[in-house]
Amino acid sequence: MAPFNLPWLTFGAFLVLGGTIILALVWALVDRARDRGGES
Amino acid sequence: MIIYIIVLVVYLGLLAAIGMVMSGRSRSVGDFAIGGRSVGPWVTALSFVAAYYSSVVIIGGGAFGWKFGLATLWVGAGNVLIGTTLAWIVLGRRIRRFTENLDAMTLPGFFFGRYGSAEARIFSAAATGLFLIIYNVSVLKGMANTFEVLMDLPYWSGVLISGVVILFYTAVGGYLAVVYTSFVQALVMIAALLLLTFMSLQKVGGMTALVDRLNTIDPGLVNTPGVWGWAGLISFTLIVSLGTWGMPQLLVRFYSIKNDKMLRLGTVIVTFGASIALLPYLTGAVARVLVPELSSADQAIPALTKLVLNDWGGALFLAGVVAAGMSTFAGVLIIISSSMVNDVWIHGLGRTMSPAAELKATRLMSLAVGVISLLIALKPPALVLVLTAFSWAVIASTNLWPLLFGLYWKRTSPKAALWSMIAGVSAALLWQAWPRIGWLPELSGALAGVHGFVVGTAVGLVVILIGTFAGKPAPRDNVDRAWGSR
Repeated sequence: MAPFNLPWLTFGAFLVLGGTIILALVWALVDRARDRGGES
Repeated sequence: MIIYIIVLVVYLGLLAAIGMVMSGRSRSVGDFAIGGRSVGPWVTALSFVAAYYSSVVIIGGGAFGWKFGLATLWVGAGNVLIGTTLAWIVLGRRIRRFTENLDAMTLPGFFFGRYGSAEARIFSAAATGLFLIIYNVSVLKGMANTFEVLMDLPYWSGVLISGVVILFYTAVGGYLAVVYTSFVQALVMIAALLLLTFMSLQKVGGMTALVDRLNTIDPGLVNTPGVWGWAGLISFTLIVSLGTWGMPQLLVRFYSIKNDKMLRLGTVIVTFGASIALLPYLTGAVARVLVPELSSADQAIPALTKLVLNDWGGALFLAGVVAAGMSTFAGVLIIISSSMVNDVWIHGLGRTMSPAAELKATRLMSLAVGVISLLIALKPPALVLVLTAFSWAVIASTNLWPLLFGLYWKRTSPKAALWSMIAGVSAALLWQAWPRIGWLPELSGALAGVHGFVVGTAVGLVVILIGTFAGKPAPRDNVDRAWGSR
């Protein structure tokens, strides 16, 4: 059982949400680094 | 009651004031339609959230949570991942650059610039315009129903109160008024949904207690796909998530952001803001435990609000639902009016207009479209009510592939783009109408839960692929201009 007694498949929705937030942050950082690399 | 009135008057007055302030900044059609491409990342991101989640999502999402349980959390997760973050990453930068390179202010205008196809421009403008009006009727209806339940006001007064305020600030202030009011509305929505979720979870005894109590009612309310089934869950998640990729009132946020570097911060902000998508479904599931006896699932959120919030909280929540509806409605008005004047009247019918006359015509068109939506919403005909259920599907089926292929594949054929629109819309409509017209026996089993959007986009994808391999690409000049290589 996942946290809150939820089945893992249902709890997966929260994991996807967390993963999406990480994706947005990583994409923004990579994009900024790429931009700076292009400028130098 | 007096508290509700105070909160609403203050709130609606604030929106009208923003409209007045912004009226001075709409000096051209470019200002009126896309804010002169001058909007910052915070306002762009949060106004995207407000336009995405209408009152239909809050009330309807709660109804789904009440009916189908916690599996519906996946719909919210799909909204954040596919409908928001991936849309910003995949579409945002290219739309910003291409529309500037092509000097396009509308999605049909982009199709014309990118493909050189007047037919694609007209078809997209007509199909999108018609079904956006129908969509707007459902948004107005959602707001009026909330007024009805929470304030015991007659349905018509809910339509008039919300409709008139939106018409005022949209026609006066244009796109800038829409995005700045939407920014405020997003903050109100987020606060309202967080408050309702926190209070209702506290009332039910916490998240674990909620899961245990749902399990005793029916384990299908806790499992995935649970009582809904895979076909319904996946196709609904796709339509309300991937569907955003073809919705012009959301895509316009990418045209109007100040520059494409701002999309980076915008993507992070919008992801956090859009995370509220899970809350209506979660609170709907709480409502299943706390208010199990309802005549209609649509009453789940209003009934829960009455149970767990005091008058101030209830008034804030009403403001949140109204905010969600108003921001969506206003965004749609701007899109339809600029598209009707610019794409259909000027470019489609070949009428010439001075810039000042075009601005005036666009303002008047937004008023006219708003009044038409309002009048239909006062007493929606049965056909309109049926069509509202899949207006989103038709609009997305029209625009999704021609937009995505147009941004990423230079070879995409203009004829393939046009026929993908026509085939996608026809397939989506036929699929939805199939059980009603009785030509063929009703679909059974897993297929019955598949939404027309899935069928429409699948057909549209096949057509654009085959058409592109078989047909001629767009004129070189159009492609070069879009990619900025000329």
